[in-house]
Amino acid sequence: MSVKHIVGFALKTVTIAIVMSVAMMWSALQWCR
Amino acid sequence: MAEADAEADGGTVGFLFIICAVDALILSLVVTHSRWRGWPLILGLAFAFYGVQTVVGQIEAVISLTPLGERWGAGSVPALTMPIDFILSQFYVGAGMALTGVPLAARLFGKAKRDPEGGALRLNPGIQGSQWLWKVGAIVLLYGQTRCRRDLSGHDV
Repeated sequence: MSVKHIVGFALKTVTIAIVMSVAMMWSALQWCR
Repeated sequence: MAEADAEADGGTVGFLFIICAVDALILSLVVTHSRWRGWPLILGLAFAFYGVQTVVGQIEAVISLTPLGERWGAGSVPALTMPIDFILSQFYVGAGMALTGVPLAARLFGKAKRDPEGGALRLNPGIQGSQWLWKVGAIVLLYGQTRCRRDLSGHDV
């Protein structure tokens, strides 16, 4: 596994984490309303 | 006062991001190692992720952190209780995470479309019935023992 693969995997994982964080906060706000 | 509130909010957001980063890492590893592709992968993983991440946690919360625990859980009213409304909200929040994280992970790692030459879907990962039995039995026993110890010691999630 090359450095390029590891960096790509990390970037994709961070992207998923950011989207999931936004989804988590958005759905929590929707529930509060 | 306002600065302290802003700092606390920032800490909460950071903590939530760490939780999501761990979830995202697990999803990424499962998706990249999965033999499944397309809708079977997305539906199966979303079902499993929602079940483990949300449903099981909220069942534990109901039996351990509400007065219902007196009848269904440890047999006594917990010292620390969680509002039912908060527990119900987690079903909604967990669904939001599963419905965004799983399809996105499948898309980013190139597993969102089915392989036309992939053949039939394999439900069995290649282990025999007896192995299924003892592996599932071991998981049930270990999980049950951990739950009992937590309930008896009075500590929980």
